[in-house]
Amino acid sequence: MEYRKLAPSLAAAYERYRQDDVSSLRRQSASLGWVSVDEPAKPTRAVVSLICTPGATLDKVGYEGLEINRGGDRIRTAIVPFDGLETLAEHHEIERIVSAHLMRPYLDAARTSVGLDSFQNTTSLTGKDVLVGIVDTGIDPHHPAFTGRIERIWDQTLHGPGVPEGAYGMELKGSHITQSRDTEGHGSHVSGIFAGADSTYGGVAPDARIVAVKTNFLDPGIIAGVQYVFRIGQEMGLPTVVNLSLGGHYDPHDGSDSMSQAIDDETGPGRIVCCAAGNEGTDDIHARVPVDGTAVKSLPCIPDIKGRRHDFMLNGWYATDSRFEVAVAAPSGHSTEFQPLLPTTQNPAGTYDLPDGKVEIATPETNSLNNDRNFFIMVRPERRSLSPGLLPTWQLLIRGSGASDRGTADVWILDTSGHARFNGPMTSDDMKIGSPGCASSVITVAAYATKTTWEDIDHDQFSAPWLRLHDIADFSSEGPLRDGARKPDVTAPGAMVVSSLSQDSEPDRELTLDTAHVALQGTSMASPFLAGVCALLLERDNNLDPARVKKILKDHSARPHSHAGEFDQKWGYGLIDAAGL
Amino acid sequence: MDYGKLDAPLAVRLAATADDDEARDFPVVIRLTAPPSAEQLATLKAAGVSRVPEGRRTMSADLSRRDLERLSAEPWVLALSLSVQRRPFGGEQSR
Repeated sequence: MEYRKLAPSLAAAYERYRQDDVSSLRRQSASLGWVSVDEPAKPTRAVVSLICTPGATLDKVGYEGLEINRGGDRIRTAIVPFDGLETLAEHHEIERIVSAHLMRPYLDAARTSVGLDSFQNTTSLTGKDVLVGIVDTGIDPHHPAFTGRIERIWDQTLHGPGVPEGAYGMELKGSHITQSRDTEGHGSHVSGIFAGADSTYGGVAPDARIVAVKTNFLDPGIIAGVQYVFRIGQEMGLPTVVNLSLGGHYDPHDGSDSMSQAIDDETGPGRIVCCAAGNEGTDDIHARVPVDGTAVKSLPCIPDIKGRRHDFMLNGWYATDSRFEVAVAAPSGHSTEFQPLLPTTQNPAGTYDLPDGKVEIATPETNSLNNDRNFFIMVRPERRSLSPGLLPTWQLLIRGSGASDRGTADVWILDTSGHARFNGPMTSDDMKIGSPGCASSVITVAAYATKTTWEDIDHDQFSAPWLRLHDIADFSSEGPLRDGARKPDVTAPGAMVVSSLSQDSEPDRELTLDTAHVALQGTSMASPFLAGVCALLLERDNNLDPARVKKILKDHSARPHSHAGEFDQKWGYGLIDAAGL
Repeated sequence: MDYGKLDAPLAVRLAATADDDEARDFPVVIRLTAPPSAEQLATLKAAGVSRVPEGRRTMSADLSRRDLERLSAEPWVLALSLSVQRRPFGGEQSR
């Protein structure tokens, strides 16, 4: 049996069938089209979709009870006895076998709640002759929502010669796009919201052409991915919208970092980028430390709120008219010395070995991109808490170099797991939009809840009590930027949003609605929704630049019970009202 | 080395990495003051920047300590930043 050709749900069902687990099969039979589960006289059969090679004839596929619909080309439907699945899976013209699923007779709440259906019904805009780019975890090339519309995939994780923008990865076209898999599922979900063609959970720009970059999530890969998509758009002569549902906090949070600048370079008339604001609205990852002369300020840092040992980093920024010194105290009480600003003629990084771990501190004199001052600290804890039951707490210590050195240091704590936090009164809820969401030309999107209950694939009901229906999602990261610039720009549906399920991913079962759809939340979901709206605007006027698109969006957005044009650091200019665009 | 053009994470990486001048241990994003001239392009290629997208001011490469030193000395190189990992903003449940 070639299990790789079976969609995960079908492979699992086949195993249960082989183990004679009838009760499990019966439970799923209603939603997945499996028939005769309880009838010993008839073979248990599955209604499936067959994804075939181009021009497949399937003439010589034979098995008792197998019925293949002869309509269609690459996608055929069939009823197959479970015992015949092996025959189908081993056929060279069949690439994939996917369970059928029952359609639900309602549109997803996200579209209707912001007037998108009304807008599209009035204007007939569908993203036709617009290129949409997704730089993400990939796209499921087999998903019917994207059939025939994926122009290219640059899979940066495959071994290959790369593209002009980067000498790594493999560019895939035509039938070769199936070599790329979206095992995380994030990119396929994002793509479905952006441009999925789906009768039940339709994307915003279902006629757009698609270029997907499966990125390695490193800065160079992301930058090159954006450059790549815009080059393809230029070669095709199409206006282009790129979605970036990703980010981080290594930057100064003012749009001056290299990635933000590189993305600003790419945008222009007919070239738009949308980006997620981030999901750290309730996470204590930012602190404002008021420094007044040589008095030492102490900021508690918890490497991992679950108590695990993790490296963490501190990224601090302040104005150039002050000179601060920084040190780190370990949970045991041992501390590094205070490190002052170091001149550009020497490496500004010092290393300190403490009993609790290693600390590396960089205090460069200035930063060449924005001329502000930056300190960066890497802490590598080497043992667990000395007090069982207590979270090990490190301290960032800051003071002015002299009595006249005053100001505020904005500091972000970051780590690879996303579990590092500050503690204490200096934590601050604002300024949590990092790069590339802080790029000035990018349209940065906050998330709004349009669905808080859903029914999963097993017909179990679930709810999201952490969300308030028709309100901003608490997890949506706040602005403004560190220099006071207004971000996010606008708000769009981002929780819970139903969209395409990659057949190569394994989402939580309770979030899986059927074999083709999954419900996810995040500003990652809000950004492609807004990017889709931008694609519609470019279809109407392919010369719109970011400033004009932003003005249109802001003029048609508002917080509930507020007027358009009012900025809020959580909502930006408010929830988009597409009906009047 | 003009450390004023290196970002702080890159300075930390340099301090923590063994002194092998030729090892390409430093994945960086390079920001120029303007798209490179032919002469500047040759300098970039000589430093190990294998792909320079046409007309762009931002590119990336895995550089050695010696390459970093060479490029940081060029007046048309604005900044050198350590490549860092980003992450997607969705999918997880906030419970």
